[in-house]
Amino acid sequence: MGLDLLTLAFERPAIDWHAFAPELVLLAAGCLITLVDIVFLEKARPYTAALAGIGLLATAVPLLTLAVDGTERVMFDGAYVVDEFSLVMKALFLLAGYVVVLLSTNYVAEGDYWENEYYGLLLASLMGMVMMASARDLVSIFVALELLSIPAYLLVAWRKRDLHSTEAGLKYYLMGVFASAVMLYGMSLLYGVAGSTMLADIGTSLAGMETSPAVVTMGIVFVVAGFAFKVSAAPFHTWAPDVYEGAPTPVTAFLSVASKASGFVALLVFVFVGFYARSEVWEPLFWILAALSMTVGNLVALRQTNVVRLMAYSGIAQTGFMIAPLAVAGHGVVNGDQALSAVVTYLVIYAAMNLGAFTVVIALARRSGSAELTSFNGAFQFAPGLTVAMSVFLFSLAGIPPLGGWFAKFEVFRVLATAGEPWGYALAIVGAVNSVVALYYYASLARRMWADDPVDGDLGPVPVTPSIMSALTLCGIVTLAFGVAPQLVARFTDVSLLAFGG
Amino acid sequence: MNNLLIAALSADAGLPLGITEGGSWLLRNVWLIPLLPALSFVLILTFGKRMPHGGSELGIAAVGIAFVLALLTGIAWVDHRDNSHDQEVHVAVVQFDDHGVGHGDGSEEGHGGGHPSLAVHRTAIWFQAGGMEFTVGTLVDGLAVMMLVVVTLVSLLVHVYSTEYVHGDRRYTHYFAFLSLFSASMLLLVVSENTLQLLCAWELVGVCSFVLIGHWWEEKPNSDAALKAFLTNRVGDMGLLVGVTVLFFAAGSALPGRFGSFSIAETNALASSGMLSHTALLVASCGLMAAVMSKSGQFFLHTWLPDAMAGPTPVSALIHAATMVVAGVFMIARLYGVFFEGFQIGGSSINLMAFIGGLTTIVGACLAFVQRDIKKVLAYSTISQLGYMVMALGVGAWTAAVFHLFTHAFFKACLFLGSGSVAHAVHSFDMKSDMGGLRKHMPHTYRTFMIGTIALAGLPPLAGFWSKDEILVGTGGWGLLGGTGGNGAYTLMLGMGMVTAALTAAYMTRCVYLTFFGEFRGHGEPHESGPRITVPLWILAGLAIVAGFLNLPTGFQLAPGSLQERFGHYVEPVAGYFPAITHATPSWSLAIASTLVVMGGIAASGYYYFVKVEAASKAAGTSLTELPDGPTTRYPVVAMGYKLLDNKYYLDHLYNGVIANGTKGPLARLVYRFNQQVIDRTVDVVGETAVKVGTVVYDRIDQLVVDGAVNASGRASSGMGEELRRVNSGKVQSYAAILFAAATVLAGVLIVIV
Amino acid sequence: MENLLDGWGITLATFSPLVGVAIMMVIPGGREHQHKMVALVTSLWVAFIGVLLLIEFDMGHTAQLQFAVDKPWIDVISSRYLVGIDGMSLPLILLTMLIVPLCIIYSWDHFPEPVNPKAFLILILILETGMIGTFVAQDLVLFFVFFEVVLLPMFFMIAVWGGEDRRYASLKFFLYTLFGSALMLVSFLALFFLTGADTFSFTGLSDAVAAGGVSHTAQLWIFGGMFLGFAIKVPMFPFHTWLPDAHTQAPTVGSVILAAVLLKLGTYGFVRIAIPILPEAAVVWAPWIGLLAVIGIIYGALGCLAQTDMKRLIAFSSVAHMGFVMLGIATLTDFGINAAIMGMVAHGLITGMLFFVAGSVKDRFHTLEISRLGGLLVQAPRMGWVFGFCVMASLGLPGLAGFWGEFPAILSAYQPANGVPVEVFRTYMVIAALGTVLAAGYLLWLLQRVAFGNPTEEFAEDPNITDTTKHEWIAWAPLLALIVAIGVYPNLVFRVTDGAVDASLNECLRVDERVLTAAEVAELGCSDVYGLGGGSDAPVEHAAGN
Repeated sequence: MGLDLLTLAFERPAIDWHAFAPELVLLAAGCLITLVDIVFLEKARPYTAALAGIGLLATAVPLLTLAVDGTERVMFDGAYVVDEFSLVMKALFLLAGYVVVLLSTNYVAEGDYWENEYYGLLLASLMGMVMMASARDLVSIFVALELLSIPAYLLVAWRKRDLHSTEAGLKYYLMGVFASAVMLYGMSLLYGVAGSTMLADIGTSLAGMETSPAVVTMGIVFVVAGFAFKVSAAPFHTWAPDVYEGAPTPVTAFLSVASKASGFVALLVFVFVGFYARSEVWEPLFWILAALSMTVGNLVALRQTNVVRLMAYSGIAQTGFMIAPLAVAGHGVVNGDQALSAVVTYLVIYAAMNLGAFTVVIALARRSGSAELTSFNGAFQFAPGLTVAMSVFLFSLAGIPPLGGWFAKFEVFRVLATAGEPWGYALAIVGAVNSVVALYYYASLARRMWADDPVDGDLGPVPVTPSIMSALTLCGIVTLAFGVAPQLVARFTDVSLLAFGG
Repeated sequence: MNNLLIAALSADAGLPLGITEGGSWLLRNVWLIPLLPALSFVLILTFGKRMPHGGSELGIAAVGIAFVLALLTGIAWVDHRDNSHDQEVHVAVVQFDDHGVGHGDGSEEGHGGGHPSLAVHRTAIWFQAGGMEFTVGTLVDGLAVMMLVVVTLVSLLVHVYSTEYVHGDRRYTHYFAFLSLFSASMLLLVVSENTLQLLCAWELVGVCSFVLIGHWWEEKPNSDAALKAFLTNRVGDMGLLVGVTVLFFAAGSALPGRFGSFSIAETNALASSGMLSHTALLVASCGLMAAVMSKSGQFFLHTWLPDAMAGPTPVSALIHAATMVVAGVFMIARLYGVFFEGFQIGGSSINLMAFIGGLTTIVGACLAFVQRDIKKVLAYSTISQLGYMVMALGVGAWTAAVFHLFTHAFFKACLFLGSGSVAHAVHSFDMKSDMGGLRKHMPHTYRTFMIGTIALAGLPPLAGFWSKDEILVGTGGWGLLGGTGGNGAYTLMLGMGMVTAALTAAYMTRCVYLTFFGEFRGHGEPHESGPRITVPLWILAGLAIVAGFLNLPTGFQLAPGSLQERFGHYVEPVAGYFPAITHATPSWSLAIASTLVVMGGIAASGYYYFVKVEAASKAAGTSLTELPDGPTTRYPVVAMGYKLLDNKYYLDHLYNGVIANGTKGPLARLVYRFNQQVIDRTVDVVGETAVKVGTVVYDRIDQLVVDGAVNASGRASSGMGEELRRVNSGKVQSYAAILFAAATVLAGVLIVIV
Repeated sequence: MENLLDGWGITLATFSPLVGVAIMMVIPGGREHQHKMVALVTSLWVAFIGVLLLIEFDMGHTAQLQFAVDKPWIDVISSRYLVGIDGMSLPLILLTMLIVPLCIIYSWDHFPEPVNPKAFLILILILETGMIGTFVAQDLVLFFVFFEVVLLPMFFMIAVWGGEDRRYASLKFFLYTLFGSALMLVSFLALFFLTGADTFSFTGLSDAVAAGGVSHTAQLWIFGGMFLGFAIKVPMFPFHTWLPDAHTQAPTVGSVILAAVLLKLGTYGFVRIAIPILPEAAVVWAPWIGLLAVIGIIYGALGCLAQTDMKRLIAFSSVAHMGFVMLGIATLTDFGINAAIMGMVAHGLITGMLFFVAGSVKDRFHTLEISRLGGLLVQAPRMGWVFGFCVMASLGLPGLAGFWGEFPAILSAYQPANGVPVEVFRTYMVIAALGTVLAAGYLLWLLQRVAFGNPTEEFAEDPNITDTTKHEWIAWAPLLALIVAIGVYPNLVFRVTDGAVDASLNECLRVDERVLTAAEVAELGCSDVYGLGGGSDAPVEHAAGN
C-alpha cells in the first residue's frame, strides 16, 4: 500500500539533459581524476592538473551551446533553472576554477601535497557552485551550498604539515557549520510562512503581505546572514583573514573569488526571486552590511603587514561594494535589474583582478617563501614584469581607470545615484570615501614594489612558470579589456532575475 | 575696423572726442619711433657682443634715428595743429538725464576759441576677449610729440655719454640693450592710445629701471635698491590696476553696446562732459594717484628713488630724472579729464593731488639738504621738482606742469650727467670726503653744472625760471597785480611753491660749494672728462638756457607776441578729450617776488658756505664742509630736525623694518605654519586617524583574541598540544559569538524598525 | 566642413603615445637610445598631428566642436566615445603636445635616479594620452576616465623618481586627488540621473539641465561635488597641500608636466563642465569660489615668502597663480573665463619653465636650498637670465604671457556676471591686486637670492656648474618664445578661446548691460538667481558700471 502509493507518487520528472550537460561533464571530469588516481597512483600526479583544466574547459562547451541556444530551461517545477544569469555565473565559476587550477599546478606539486585528491575536491566544489547558479529552491540551494563548502573545508587544510593550515581548516569548518545553522533556521521560518520551498512561491507569498511580520524579517535576516558569511561581509567576516592566511594560496584565491561569487549568486537569487517584495527589510540590512564591510575592511586592511591578510580585508571591503547596489535594489524593476547587473559586473571584473593579484602573490612568494609585505619591497628591481602586472591589478581593485575595476565601481555608484534617494547618495559617499582609503593600501603596496629597496638586497630574477604566465595573461587581458571597453562585460552581465520574482 | 570708427560712422551727433583718424604720414606712423629702439634691443642682445663697440653703436643709431623722426614729427604736429582740416571722431553715448552733453565743448574756449587741436589717432586690433576687440595704437598730440622729442633727445645724449662712462664695464652690451629697451618702452608709453597699453608700457619701463638700477647686482645694496624700486612701484601699480579697471567699466557704462573702454580719448571726453559718475572718477583718480606717487616719487612712496641712484649715473639721468619718473606726471596730463573731474580741480582751493604735490616738493627739498652723496642731492631735488609738477597739475596749471617737465628734463639731466662726470673723475659720489675745489680741474663740468643749478634754482632768464613761474602763477593764489584767474585760489600751494623755491636755491648752493669750491678733499688728481661726456653736457646746458623761451608768458613785452606761449599753443590740447581749464594771467609782481625769494635762499646758503665755512676752513687749514659749531650742535631743535631728515622721516624703517620684513618674516612664517600645522596637518591627521581607527577596530573588535595567532605560531614548535587547541577554539568561540550576536541584533533591530 | 582630420585626427593624437608605449614595451630595457628615440618620435608625431589640427582648425567657428567623433562606447550606461576640439580646449591640447616632447628632450641625458629611461618614458607617454584625452573628451564618463588615467603615471613618477620624501608625497598626491574625483563621480552620476538625460555628453546634459527637471538644491549639491573634485586638482585653498609636496618631490620633468598641464585639468573642468552645465548653481557658488581664489592668491604668496627651498617656493606660487585663474572663472563672465584660459596657458608655460630651471639648478648644485645658492648669473649667466626672464613673466610683467592671465582676471572681477554680488567681487579685485605686489615680492626676492650676488664659497670653484646645455636650450627655447609671443600678441590665445567661451556661458549670465523686460526674462527662462528681476514689464536697468 505504502509502497504502491510511493510508486504512484514518484514520477520521474522530465530531465532536460542539455541543461544538465555542464554539471554532467564536470562530474565526469571529477570521476575521471579519481579513477586515474586509483588506477595509476603516483604516476598520475603530473597529469591530474592538466586533466582538471581540460575538464573545466570541456565543461565550458555545453555552456556555450546552451548560451547559443538561448532558451530558458526550467526544471523540477522551477527548482532548477538555466537562464542567462545562471549561464554567466557558471561561466564565471568555471573560468575562475580554471585559473585556480593554473595557480595550483606548481604550488601543489612543489609543496608535495596530495594532488589528485586536491583537484578532485576542487572540481567537486566547483560542481556545487555550478549547481548553485541554477538552484531556485531552498533545498537545492542548500544542497549546492554544502556541496561547494565541504570540499573547500578540506582544501583549506590541505597543507597538512602546516599548523596554520590545519587551524584554518578547522576554523573554516566550524564557522561554516554555524553559518549554515543560522541560515537553515531562517529557511525553516520562510518555509513555515510560505508553505513551499520554491523561492518563486516564497516570493509570491511575501508579496502578498502588507507589512513584514517578525517571522519573515527574522527569516530574511538569518538567510542573508548565512550567505553574508559566505561572501565574508562584515560583521560575518571574522573567519576570512585567518582562513585566507592559513589556506594554501591558490585555495585562498579560490575562496576569495569563486566561493564568494557563489555566495553572491545565492544572495541574488534569494533577493530577486524570493524576498523582492520585502525590500523594507533587506534594503536597510544590505545598507548596513555594505557600509560596514567597506569601512571595516578598508580600515583594518590599513594596518596589515601580510599580503594575504591584506587581500582578505580588501576582499571584505570589495564585498561591501558588491553588496551596495542591493541596498537600493528595491526601487522598482528597472532599478532592481540595474542593481543585479551591477553586482554581476562587479563579480566578473573582481574575479579577474583579484585572481590576478593572487597570481602575482603566488609567483613572488615562490621566491621569498613569505607573504610579508616587506618581501615585496623593490620587486620592480628583480621582477619588473610581475610588478607591472601587480600594479595593474591593485589599481584595478582601487578603481582607477582605465583598468577594469573602475567600471565595476562606476556601476555601483551609478545604481546608488540612480535610486535618487538620500540613503543611496549617503552610501555612495561612504563608498567614495572608502575608495580613497582603499587606494591608500593598494598604492602603498604598489609603491613598496616600485620605489623601495629590496630588504635582502637579493636581485635574482623570479622564475615564472608557464601556468602562472598564462593565468597572469588571462587576468591581465580581461582586466584591461573590461576597463577600456566596458561594453564587453556589460553585454554579458546585463541579466535579469526579476521576471521570476514578479 | 575699430570701435571708434564704427561709433563715429554710426552716430554723427555723438560726443566729440577731439581726435581724428586722419593726419599726415609721420603723425600716423609714430609707432616707428618706439619700434626702432625695440629692434635695437633685440639686435644688441643677439649680436651685441660680436660688434666692435659692444652693441652701443646699434643703440645710438636707433635712438638717433628715433630722435630725428621725433623732431620731424614735431614739425609735422606744428603744421597739423594750425592747418588741420581733418574730420573729428564722435562717439555714441548713453544720455543721462541729469547731465547735458556739451559741457566738454567749452574746452574750445580755453584758448579764446582757437583752432581745435585734433589728436591723431590710429589703432590696430590687439586681441579680442569677452566678445570685444581691444586695440593697440597711437594717440599723437602736442603732449605726446613733446615727450617724444624729450625722451629721444635725452636718451641719445645719455647713450653717447655712456659710451665713455661705462666703458669697459663687465656688462657693457647688456647695459646698452636695456637702455634701448627702456627707450622703446618709454616711447611706447607716451604714444599710448589706451590705458591698457599705457599700463603695459608703464610696467616695462619699471622693469628696465629694475634691471638698470641693479646693473651691478653682485653687490647686495644694488640689488636691494632695484628690488625696492620695483616693489614700491608695484604698490602704486595696484592703484593703477584698480584705476584702469574702474575707468574701463565707467566708460563702458556710458557707451551703448560696449561694456568697457580703455580708450584714453573716450574716457577723457566722457569724464569731461560729465557723463561718468563722480564716485567712479574719484576712486579711479585716487587709484591712479597711487601709481603716480610711486612712479613719480611723490611723498610717501618716494623712498625708492634716492636708493635707485645705485644704478649707473647715466641711467639716473635718463630714467630717474628726465624721463621715467615723469611718467606719473605724464599720465596725469594724459588722463587730465579724469583727474580734473575726479578731484574737482576747477574752482576749489585744495585737493589730494595738489596737496601731495606740494608736500612732496617741500619734503624732498628738505631731504636734499642733509645728503653727502651728490647724486642723492639731485635725487631728492628730482622728487621735489616732480612734486612741483604734480602740484601744478593739481591746481589746474596743466601747461605749466608739462612745461616744467620739459625744462626739468634738460637741466636735471645736465646736473646728473655733470655729477657723473665729477664722480668719474674722483671715483666717488661723496661730496664731503672726496670732492671740493673741482672747478679748477673740471672747467666744462663746472660751467655746465652751474648752468643747470641756476636753471633749477629758477633764476631768470634760464629755463627753470619760466616754468616755475608759470606754476606759481597757475596756483591762482597770488592776486597782487595779476597772477589770478586760475582754476581756483590755491594759496597754500603758492606758499609751498615759494618755500621750495628758496630751499631749492639753498641746497643747490650747498651742493655747488661742496663739489666745486673749497679745496679738493679726495685722492689722486681729478681731470676733466672726455668729449663724449662734455659735449652732451654742453648740449643739455644750452637747452637749459633756451628751453624756457619756448613759452614766454603772454603779455611779456620783451618778445614779440608771435613768440609768446608757443609751447602752450602747440602742446595743450584744445579738444573734446581735454577738460575746460582756465588760465591764470601772468604777473610781473609774482615773478619778481619769486626771484627775490630764490636770491634769498642763495644768499643765506651762500653766506653760510662761501663766507663762514670758507673762513673756518682757512682757520683750520683744511677744507671743511660744515662749521664745527654749526646750528645742529648749538640748537637741540635743529639737531632733532637734522636727525629726522637724516633718517628720511623714518619711512624706510617703516617700509623695510615693519611692512616688508613683517610680511616676509612673521606674517609669512605664521601663514606657513598655519599651512603646515593646521591645513596640512588636518589631512595627515585624517589619514593617521583612519589608520588608528583601523587598528582599534582590528585589535578590539575584529581580533578579540588578538594574540591568538601570534601565540599559536610562537608555540607551534612545541607541538600541536592542548594549548593550541584551547587558544584556537577560544578564537572560534568568539568568532561564533560575533556571528550569532550580529545575526540576532540585526534581526531584532529590523523587526523593531520595519 | 570637409577636412583632412575629421573623424580620426583626435583619436590618432590621443592614442598614438600608446602605440609608442607598445613599441617600447617590446624593446629590451637595455637599449636606452632606442627608447629615447621611440619616445621622442612618438611625441613629435603627436605634436605634428597637433600642428595639423591647428592648421585645419576653423578659426571662424571656435565655438563649434571640430573634428568631432561620436561612436558608441558603453551602451549600457549611454556613454559614448565623444571627442572634439573647440576654442576652449585647443590651446590646452597644444600646450600638452608641446610640453611632452620638450620634457623628453630635456631628460635626454640626465634621467633622474634610478635611471630607467624605458619606464620613465613609458609613463610620460601614458600621461600624454591621459592629458590629451581629458581635453578632448566631450562625454562625462570619458572625461572621468581620462582625468583619472593621468593619476597613475604621475604617482609612479613621483614615487619612483622623486626626492627624499617621495613616498609621502606621491601617496598624498594620489589620495587627495582621488578623493576629489570620487565625489565628483558621484555628482556626475547624480546629475545624469536627475536630468533624466539618456546621454553623458556635455551639451546633452547642459540642455537637459536648462530644460528644467533638476531642482535648485540638487544643482547646488551636484556643483558642490564637482567643485570638490576640480578644486582639489586646481588646487584651490584649502585643498592645496598636496601640491607643494608633490612638486617638491617630483622629478623635474614630473614637476613641469604637473605644473604645465595637470593643474589645468581642474580649472578646465570648471569652465568646460561645472559652469556650462550648472549655471544656476555656479552663480550661487561664485562668491565662495572667488573668496577661496583670493585667499589662495594672498595665502600662496605669503606661503612663498616663508619658503627656504626654491622648488617649493615655485610650487607655492602655483597656488597663488591658480588663484587668479579661479578668480577669473568665478566672475562667470566671458571676459573672466577667457582670462582664466589665458592664465592656464601662461602659467603652464611660465611655471613649467621655472621648474625646468629649478631642475637644472638642482642638477648642478645638488641642492635647492635658497640660502646656499647665489650668484647664478655669475656662474651660469645664460641660465641666470632665463631664470630672471621667467621670474619677470611669472610676476605678471606686461609684454609677457603672465600678464594676460592676471590683469584681465582682476579686471573682470570688477563686473561679474548677473546674479553674482558686485561689491564682493570688487573687494576681491582689490585683494587680488594686492596679490600682484606680493607676487613681485617673493619672486624678486627669490631672483635676488638665487641669481644676484656672488656665488657662495661652497660652490664658487665647483666645476660641475656649467651654463645652459644644448638639450636645455632646445627644451626651453620654444617655451621662452611662446611666453614672449603670447605676451606681445595675446590674441594668439584669445582669438581661439573667445568664441567658445562666449558660447559656453548661459544666456542668463551674459545679459549684463542690457535692459530686459519681464517678457524677455521669461523667454530666456532664467531663474531668480540671476537677479534679473523681470517681475514687472518695466525695464530693468543692469548697467552697473559705477
